Amino acid sequence: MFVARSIPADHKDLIHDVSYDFHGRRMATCSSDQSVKVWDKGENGEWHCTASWKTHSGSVWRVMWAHPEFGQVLASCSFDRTAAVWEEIVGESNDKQRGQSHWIKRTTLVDSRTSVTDVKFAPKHMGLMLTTCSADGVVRIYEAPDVMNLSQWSLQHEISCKLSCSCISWNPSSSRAHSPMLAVGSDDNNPNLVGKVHIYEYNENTRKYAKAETLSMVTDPVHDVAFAPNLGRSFHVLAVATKDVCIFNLVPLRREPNSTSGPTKFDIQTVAQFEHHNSQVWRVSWNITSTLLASSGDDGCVRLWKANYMGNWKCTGILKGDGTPVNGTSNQHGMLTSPLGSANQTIQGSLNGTSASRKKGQLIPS
Amino acid sequence: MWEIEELDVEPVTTVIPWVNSSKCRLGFEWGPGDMLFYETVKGGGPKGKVCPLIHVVRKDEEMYSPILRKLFNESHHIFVGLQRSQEESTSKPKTHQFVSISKNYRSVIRACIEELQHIAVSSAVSALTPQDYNQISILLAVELIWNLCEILFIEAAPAGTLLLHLLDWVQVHNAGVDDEAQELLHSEDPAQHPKFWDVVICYVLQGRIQEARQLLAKQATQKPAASSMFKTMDGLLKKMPVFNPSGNQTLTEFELKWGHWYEECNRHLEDSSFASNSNMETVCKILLGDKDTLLSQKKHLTNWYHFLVTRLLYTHPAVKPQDLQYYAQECMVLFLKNRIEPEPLDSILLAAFKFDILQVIKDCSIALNNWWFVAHLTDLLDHCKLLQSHNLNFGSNLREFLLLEYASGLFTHHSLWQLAVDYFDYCPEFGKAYLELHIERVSLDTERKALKVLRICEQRQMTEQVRSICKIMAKKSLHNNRLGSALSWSIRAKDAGFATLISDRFLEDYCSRGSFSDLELIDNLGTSMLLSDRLTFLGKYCEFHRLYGEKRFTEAAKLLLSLMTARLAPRSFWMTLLTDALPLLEQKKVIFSAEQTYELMQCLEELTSCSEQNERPSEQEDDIELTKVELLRLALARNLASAIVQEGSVNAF
Amino acid sequence: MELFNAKFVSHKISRTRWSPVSSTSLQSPEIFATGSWDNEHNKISIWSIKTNVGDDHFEGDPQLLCEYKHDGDVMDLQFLDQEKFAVASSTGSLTIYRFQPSSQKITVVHQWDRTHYYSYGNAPCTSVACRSPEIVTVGEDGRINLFRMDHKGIEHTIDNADSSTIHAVTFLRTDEVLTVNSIGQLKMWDIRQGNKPSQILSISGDRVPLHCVDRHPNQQHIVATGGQEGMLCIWDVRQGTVPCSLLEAHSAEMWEVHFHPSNPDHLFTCSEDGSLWHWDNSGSDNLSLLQSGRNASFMSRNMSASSSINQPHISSWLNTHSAKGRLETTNLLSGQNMSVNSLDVLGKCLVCGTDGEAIYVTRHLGL
Repeated sequence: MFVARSIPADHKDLIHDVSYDFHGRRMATCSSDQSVKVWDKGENGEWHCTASWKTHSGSVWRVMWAHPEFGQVLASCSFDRTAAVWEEIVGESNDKQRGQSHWIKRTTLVDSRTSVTDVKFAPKHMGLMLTTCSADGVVRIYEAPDVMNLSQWSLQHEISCKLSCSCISWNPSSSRAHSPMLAVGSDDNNPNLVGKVHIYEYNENTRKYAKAETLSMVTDPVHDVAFAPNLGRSFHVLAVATKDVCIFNLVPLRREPNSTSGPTKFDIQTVAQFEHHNSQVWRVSWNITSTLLASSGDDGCVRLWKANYMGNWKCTGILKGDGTPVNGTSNQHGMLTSPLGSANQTIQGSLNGTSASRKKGQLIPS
Repeated sequence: MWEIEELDVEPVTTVIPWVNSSKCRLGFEWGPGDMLFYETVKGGGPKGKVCPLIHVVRKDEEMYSPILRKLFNESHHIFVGLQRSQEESTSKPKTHQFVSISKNYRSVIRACIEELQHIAVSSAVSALTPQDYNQISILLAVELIWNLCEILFIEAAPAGTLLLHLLDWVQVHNAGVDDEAQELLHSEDPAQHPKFWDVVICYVLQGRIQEARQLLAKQATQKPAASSMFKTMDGLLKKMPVFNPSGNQTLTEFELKWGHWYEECNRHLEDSSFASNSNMETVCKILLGDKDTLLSQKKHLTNWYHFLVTRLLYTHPAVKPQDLQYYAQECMVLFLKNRIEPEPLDSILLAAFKFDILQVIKDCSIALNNWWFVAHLTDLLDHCKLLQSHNLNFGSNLREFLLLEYASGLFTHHSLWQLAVDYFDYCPEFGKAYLELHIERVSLDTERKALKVLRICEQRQMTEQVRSICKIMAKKSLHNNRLGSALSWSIRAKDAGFATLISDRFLEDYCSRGSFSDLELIDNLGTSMLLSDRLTFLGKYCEFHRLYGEKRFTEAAKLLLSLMTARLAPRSFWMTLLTDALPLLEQKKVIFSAEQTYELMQCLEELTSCSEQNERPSEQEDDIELTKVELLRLALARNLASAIVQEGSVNAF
Repeated sequence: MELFNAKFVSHKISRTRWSPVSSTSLQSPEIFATGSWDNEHNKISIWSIKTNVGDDHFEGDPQLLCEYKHDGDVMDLQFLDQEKFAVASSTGSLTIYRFQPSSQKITVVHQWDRTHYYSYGNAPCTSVACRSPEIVTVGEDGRINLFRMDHKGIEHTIDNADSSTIHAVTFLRTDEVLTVNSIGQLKMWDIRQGNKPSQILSISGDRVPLHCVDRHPNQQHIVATGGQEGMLCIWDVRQGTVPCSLLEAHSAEMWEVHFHPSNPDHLFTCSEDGSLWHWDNSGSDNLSLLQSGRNASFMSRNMSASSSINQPHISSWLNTHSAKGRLETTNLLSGQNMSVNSLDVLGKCLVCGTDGEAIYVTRHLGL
């Protein structure tokens, strides 16, 4: 791996989230500076900021793209207790000249009484649905019944988790065999030994979400959860970021013939547990086919995990900073002028000097 | 990011500039071909001193090598050919077919090596990067391993033939002697050339006896005094038995003959026939496979497997495949004795000599920086039924695992993704699921590209992906105000809701302009009109306009009325339809029959009564509406009167 | 397959075009241009199949003469004369390049940016047609633009000429162009006046998209189109609004169709299904031998012969139904499954390019 380019994000404060759109041609960034920026990839692979606007009156924690079937739509959530939905509209012709696009706020979701910590669109087969969770321990599921009118959102479900919620993840499976399901993580750090990850499942009969399982083995604060793509399997795979990186298999248990109404019960198997970060893990995320899991920890590293053909997981890659922080503006100019220049050469060089040549050098038939 | 699949290998570390890991967290995001990284602190950090950067980290640089792209494209062709021939043929495939496929793969590798070397020689030094040189050495190693696997596993050469193949293998991969020989032969006096004996010995070490004899003859003519010695050596070399697999000689006969020859060589050595010339004596000792003499020629042998093959040639020319591993192990230890640990290539070759296919594949995936080699080789070995025979119950899993990794890697490339599709097709367990996840991420920059992606999905009955792609394109077209395209895409997506929405946009356009902008588009709908009621209405309404334009008033009137009575027209459009009826009502000839006129009146009353219940928009609009209604009532009444008169008079006759 | 030389070029090829040879000489073409698509950095390249300078390359192996970076996918490429060619881009721009054989360099003669666009952002320009000095482009925005090589501005634009995507354009005669669109319509336009097509033809009751169009080099009313499901249509634009013949051909999109410019009894098509077909209609007409002999002296694409001479020909393509048995088709590229995106034929030479990042060239076409 190597750093191909570095983009000055031009946010006036820390970035909290960067999100690729579905096709990887656009990205959105959000920051403590209360703004969201949208970037478009040009013909030559360069990124251009095509929109930047103030979205909230507090730090913006997360930004997420809706599936392109619903158009160009973003959701954001903030410390200001709200979540918002944004849509790109066709602007005036002079905007085209400036290469700027127009984003307008379609709705503000104001139901939370505390900071909204996560926002996620549901899988597209469920329609246009948005889920938020907040520090007050409530998960809210909103729906836009008319996908052409994004200013109308109705609060469909409110799930009270009782513990401060930090993260949510939808099970992406679109199989008819699986009811809609989401995992909620809590960063509550009371030393009570209560499971911090809850699985909720939609019940067709009651038309409500009900708790299916609690991952009782996860008792430390949870900062992120991520379901893996299903790949046609009967079971589900969930990654959890807590004091370590965990991977669980959720295997549905056969239902009793006469208990059709209750939620599915799962046999929860711990597939892997890694303490390599030696500290709190605060983000986990799968690649497209879930062959790789990335985790980020308080040790400042991102680790990549991979299973071999026998299903054994191990760390295959580490990414970390070089320890030279940007100090002030004096450095900035140089970076802007040569984001791909000499610095990058040395990175590649050092890469070859360590890992690459160690492996390749030995293969030369001398 | 060619990941390594075994537990005993250290993860690869990548350093990101301008990030201080001790003070911050590293945020990240997965992308289609890269990952994004950024500095962050949860909960907000100190303000003022930030200059956030987003770092784009690319995975495998070698995908971007133009020459390797040729390797990927050409081998794709061979791969697909192999899978199809297996599907089509009913008879059991023959070994020679697999060998020929294996050779095709190797010739593609060799072509890449040659091209890289050609660039290295022909152009300036700067043309090749260090990565390119790495690439050459990796490809050379890959070809060396593949060739050995071909001999041992695919060809499965028996004793006798086996050594002939190994000799070829050593000759092909130690071709340096040819350059030296050329230099020698082009010199003024080859026999006096300082490298004369080096070349002779190299030839003998590689078993190239004819070439060694030709060189020695040059020396012999210059040294008449030693002519008998040269004659003796020439005789030995000439008589050296070589196994002929196509001849009728049995292996036992060959071994017997070879034993006699070996004894003769030994006699000459003991007789000190060559004592006067140390080089000649060395050659004789090599012919006897003398261990210490061979080890003293390390610089000519260059590697232990050359040593192994030479030693077998002159001690066990009829070596059996199952005995190879003992000699290989011994030769490696002897040759590398002062080195502590064998290097990856050594271990891989040794594993091959031990016929441990799984170990070869495992070690290769660790040592090599790419999946191309292991994926294609494993697939070929699996087709040869070699993975099952080694009692690996996960044999096909391993093949699929490697193919999935390779194809997923191709999908992260902006251009090579098309090749990956065929690989997924031949992964029975997860191929389809992987393809579904990857294909929908391909960005649809142009319609032509979208059509290519759609074709892939349609051929594989991936209905959900087909629908989704069409929907995305429809949405995009609508965003760009391209109604015709949007309609075509939603028809292809079979998305009735969206078709209704676009139909409404067409109708809105009509209402504001008073004419249809795309009459011929709607006229051309055909049966796709039936996708949604609104679309059907739109089509029928256009048909009405066409009939009217062609002055086919009676048909037009009938159609217009049916649009309302069949409840096909949306209520909001009824006033427009009734207004359209006005000119027909005012024709001199009676067009609407009495019964039809009654129906029209009913429609008008239904419309006015229900709109009374609703709120009225504004006074002005209200006035216009009221005038329209009055006009209509009047026209309808008049038409009713004339119709009754006319119908009555007709009945009277 | 042996007929062709394959060359792997490390980028997917969207267009291949021979540089025209002068109509008076009987020499065969030696230079061709290619364009790439879907690459991070696309380019146009000039190749030579000249066999000289005694290097180690076997006969006909294309040699790269020079290349030039191109913004966006190359959607179409057409030569204006022996040196200049027009390139349509997915960024909506049209660029005229010049290849100078003496210096072996490519230079930009002129570029029109954003000639195809939406109210926000650019629209891909899908096709370009040249009849020197005039150039016509069409795009996904449904626009038709007319340019003159020697004028910087746009001569004429028909906004919203089509509410569907226009996939291809070709000149029928001076001032008249033909377009095909994504709902299966073939439209005729007078590009100098009006903003409505002068004629619309379509396959009745069907909306199968059409992707390519070519007209018969000698009989201007005979037009061939190729579409979505690989169907080849032959139209007589003088009469009727439906095609004269529909011929089952490829199993996927037909990307290009070309009559042989000097031997129009022969037609070539290529497709997404990875095949390249040669349609030989010479057997269906006993006069064709005489005809092709007469036509052999015309090498230029735009050369037209008087229609009376070629009268017997009309039946050969327009009556393919009855003559079906004698219309022979051959797949020239078997055993290759990556899409053949483009082909060009001139004299006995044919060049085509694929998504398998290969160029195939032959100099010994059997006509």
